Amino acid sequence: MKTLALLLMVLCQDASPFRLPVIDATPPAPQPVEPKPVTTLPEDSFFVVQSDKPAIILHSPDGLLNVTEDQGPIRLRGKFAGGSGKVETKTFDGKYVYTIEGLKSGKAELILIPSGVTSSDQIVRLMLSVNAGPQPPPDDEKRPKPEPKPTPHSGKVHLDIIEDVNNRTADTSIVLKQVVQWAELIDAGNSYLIRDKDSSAAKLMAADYAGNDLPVVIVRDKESKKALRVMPLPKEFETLQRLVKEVAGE
Amino acid sequence: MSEIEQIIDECGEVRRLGSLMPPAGFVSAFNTFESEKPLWDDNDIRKVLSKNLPTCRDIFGPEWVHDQKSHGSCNGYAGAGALQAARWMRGIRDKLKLSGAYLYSKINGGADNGSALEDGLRAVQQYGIAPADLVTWDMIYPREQPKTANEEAAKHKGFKCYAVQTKQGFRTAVAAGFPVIVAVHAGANFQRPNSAGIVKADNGRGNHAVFVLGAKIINGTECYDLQNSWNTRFGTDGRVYATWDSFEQTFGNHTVYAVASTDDAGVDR
Repeated sequence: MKTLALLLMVLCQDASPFRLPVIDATPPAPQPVEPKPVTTLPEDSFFVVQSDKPAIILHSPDGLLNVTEDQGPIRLRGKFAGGSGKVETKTFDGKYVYTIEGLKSGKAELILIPSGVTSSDQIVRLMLSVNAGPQPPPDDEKRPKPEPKPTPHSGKVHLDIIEDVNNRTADTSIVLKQVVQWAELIDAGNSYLIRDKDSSAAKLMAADYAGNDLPVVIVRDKESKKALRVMPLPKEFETLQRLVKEVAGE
Repeated sequence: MSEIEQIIDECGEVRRLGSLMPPAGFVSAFNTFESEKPLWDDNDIRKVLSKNLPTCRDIFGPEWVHDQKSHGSCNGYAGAGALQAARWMRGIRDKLKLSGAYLYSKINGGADNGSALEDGLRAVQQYGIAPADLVTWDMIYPREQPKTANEEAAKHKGFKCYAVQTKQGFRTAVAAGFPVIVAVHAGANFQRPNSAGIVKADNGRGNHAVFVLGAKIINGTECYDLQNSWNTRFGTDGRVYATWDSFEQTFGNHTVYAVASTDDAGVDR
């Protein structure tokens, strides 16, 4: 808004050497229509700046705009920013005519510095939305993050069983030593690992089971390793089997 | 170092008995199982054993049994067997067999004259154990081993391993499901299990290292499932049951230890 206000102020100043494109006013309007500055540069259009003085035209970032300088008056045929949107022929009678074309879509800053500038008021700065065809994908960092979708899990699970081996109880031991049942779980395409709480891997998983007493079971999707459920290690293997099937969606 | 004992096994092979006793008055430098873990009472131990859960012989086929052959490397093989069993019990099912010769090479002092369990316990945690297909039974000195042996060994270490100093500690460790490396005295009785597969104790302070994984109650007695490293012709596919009698004399003379957890590069680091 600040830029726009500055631009309008510049346009209203007779002292400004620049004449910028404005949107064509509609003739039958009963009230005088204030010209609106052009802030977009459509595909295949020219943004033409006329000046009575030679000027330096700066633009950034690089690669979005191309600026050519001509001495006026000059007659140009093409589409013009702020024009009808159709091919037109226009005559620009400024001593210096700067024709700006969009090369790549994006937001570009244009700074017009007249020769012999004595005051910052004489410098015009404006932002142009350049639309040069299909929009490139935005930067990853700026791209709006999609809503996380529920991860479809593979139906096979991996169990991380975190325990304190120094405090393994008889009940825990009974469950962990049911090797036939564990083998069945593996044969069904699942996997498990018993980890001591002090192992580096268990420490890395601490956030997954924070607030739970040990031993704890982290049921993960076998492929994505995403934690699907965190639960105490049941005292009966049958209970563990039932819960695993429930989580796996069997 | 004096020459170690040897016997001829039931199959006629010479077996060097390489579990050396530490000097008199020796105190283990390691944390003891009893100081780190609350010991279970008889009710807890019986509760677990009464479930008749699978023991070593039920879990591991004959292919898991090692053969130390003519070297005094029993200590290395007991440690390797225990570590590979502990890995499996944790859920690591890569069927990796570990090298007793490698572990022995780290603790034999450059001579094939046996080793002490205390040193085995230290090396399991410090160096780890290389795969058996990389360091074969006869490579008992580092110079004979592939250059990658140490690197591969470091991928498979003991994590929490404890010296076990009491009968109740031993029973607790076994009932909890931890492999325990023990010393037995290998004489004639050790090689002749009865019809139930149970061996009687031989008199002696312990000359041979094996490991125990699990126990069953047979005829009202706790019988520990013991895996030897004398190939599968020993006992039943390489295993026998032993009662506490077989360890009573050796306990206190050797640093019996339990492998409570392992540290494996592929899954822990």
